[in-house]
Amino acid sequence: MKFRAIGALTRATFLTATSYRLRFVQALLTSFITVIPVFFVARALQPMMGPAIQREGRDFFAFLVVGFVVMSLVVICVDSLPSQVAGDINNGFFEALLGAPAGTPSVLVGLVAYPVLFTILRGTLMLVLAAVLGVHLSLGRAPEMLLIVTLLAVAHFGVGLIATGLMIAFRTTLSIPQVVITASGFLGGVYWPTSSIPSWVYKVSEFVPLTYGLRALRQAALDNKDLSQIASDVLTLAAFAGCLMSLGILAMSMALSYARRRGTLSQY
Amino acid sequence: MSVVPAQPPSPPVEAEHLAAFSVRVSALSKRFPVRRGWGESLRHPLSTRWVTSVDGISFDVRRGEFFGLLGPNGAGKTTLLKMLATFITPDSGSAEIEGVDITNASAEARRLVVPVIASERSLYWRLTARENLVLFAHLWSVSPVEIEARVDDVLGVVDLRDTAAKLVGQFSSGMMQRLLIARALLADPRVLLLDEPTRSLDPVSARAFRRFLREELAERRQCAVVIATHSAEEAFDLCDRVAVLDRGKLLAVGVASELARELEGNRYLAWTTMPDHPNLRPLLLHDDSVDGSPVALREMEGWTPVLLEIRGGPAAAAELLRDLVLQGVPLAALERVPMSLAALVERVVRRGREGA
Repeated sequence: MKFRAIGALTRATFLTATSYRLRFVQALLTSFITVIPVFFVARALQPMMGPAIQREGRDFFAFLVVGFVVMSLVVICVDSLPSQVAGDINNGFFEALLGAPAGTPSVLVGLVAYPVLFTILRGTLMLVLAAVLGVHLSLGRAPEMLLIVTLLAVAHFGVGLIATGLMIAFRTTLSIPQVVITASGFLGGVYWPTSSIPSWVYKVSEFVPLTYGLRALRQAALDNKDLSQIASDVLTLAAFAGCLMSLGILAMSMALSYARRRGTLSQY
Repeated sequence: MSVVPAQPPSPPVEAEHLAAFSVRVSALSKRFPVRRGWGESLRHPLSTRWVTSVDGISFDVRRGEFFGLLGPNGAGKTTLLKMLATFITPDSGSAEIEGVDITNASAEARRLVVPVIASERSLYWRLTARENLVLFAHLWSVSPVEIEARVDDVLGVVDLRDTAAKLVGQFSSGMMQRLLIARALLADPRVLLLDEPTRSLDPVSARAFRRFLREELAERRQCAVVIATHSAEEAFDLCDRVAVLDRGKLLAVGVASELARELEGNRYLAWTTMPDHPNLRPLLLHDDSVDGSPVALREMEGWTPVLLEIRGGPAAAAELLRDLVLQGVPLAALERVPMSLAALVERVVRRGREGA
């Protein structure tokens, strides 16, 4: 992995994003402002939802904010790379990048580094505002939180790699990002605890990595649980991350080889 | 001068001879599956039809040489360039860049050969020219302490130093093309691959751009350049040697001007004031050295050019001229028709297809 190449691509994407000043400021403000209506809705639903989230912090507003922040990271990890590569294939930029000896892994990480970092910044802003509005995060559990967020990012970047591989080989992601985002949103415990969903759907949610990640993260961040108390969920998430990232790397490798054989690395 | 109808694999060469070559291509082939309609795909789901894009092509390019690939659309020029750039994997044969095999050591080959991606959209339009180049300098692992100087150098080379701080989106097509070249030069390549580099330039800019390519790349940097082009003027202006391709096959390769001379054929114009002279037509029709029927073209200021095909070279032409004069045909000149490179390519392609 060439960190200089990753840094240079991140900087270029950052400069491009900030050149659209209004859009950049609006993106920051929107995430900040989103927290306010969530606060009032969560307060209204607290009496009903409180008992269901006893093991995940008890505060429905905190529950939702953590869910939203993590969900936005999941969306970026799953969807930004295939979208970016689809555009870059059509304008020849992908070919230009692969023609440089920086290496494919560095190029791929470099292409998504800025969106991921910006999403983390937006998430941090949301958490800061949530803290102002009374959410208490157990900052002493920062290492656990960091580990869980990293595993979530790795797992979902693996999905993004699979989708990107499909995009490179067949010019379609087969809607994998959309399916994963929808499934994660409804079954991963973003808006409500997985324990409150019907039993047969709950079975499906066991195949959603976000289920384990969010549950472990909320327990660490909102209920001050240490790693040993959330080990089961973290290990399951790590297994997902390992499998999905391995599959993603395999898919990318096969897709690039296929595209080189078929001559379809670019279509401009 | 070496005009060859088709190129067999190069014979083994000695080490020092080998060292003179930047590119060695040997029996390179590539075929692609043909896209089929829904009906055919459903009727024969397992069958695949193939089209051969590059068919056993061999050639060498020396250091500092401009080598042109000419041919009609679908001749295989772009596929060949993309194989050399490691973007397409060959089915068979081999190619070496400075002795490095592009298939088995593609990562190493990528350090030596740089394709100029012709798409202007492959630049960051919201960044300045300098910022675009700095990005690629990092991707090419140019030493951080050298980046500033290297970027300045290539900006100067393509004459964009004064507009380095301007957003690329505000550039003209010609400036973007020059920036794409500058981006490729950052890597200090040994071999540069250009695919129709002047297609979006006006004639004046294209001429200036070709002069720059010649002086900067070949003469100053001793960089071998393989250039695919439809433009005859471009090939004549730039290339030391050209190869003519059609349907994936290499039909001829040689020095552009010599290739033209060898293949320009036997077309002559006889300028006369009496194209309907009673002795003209019978003489031409019965002369063994004249092929086909003569064709009278449009009169110009009292003189009518009659197009002839004369076999036997200048000697036969001189003999025919003498006979025409002796028969009383008023003639001002009998001149050989120079052939444009476009016509030359067409002739080579036609000859190749007839021979196939």
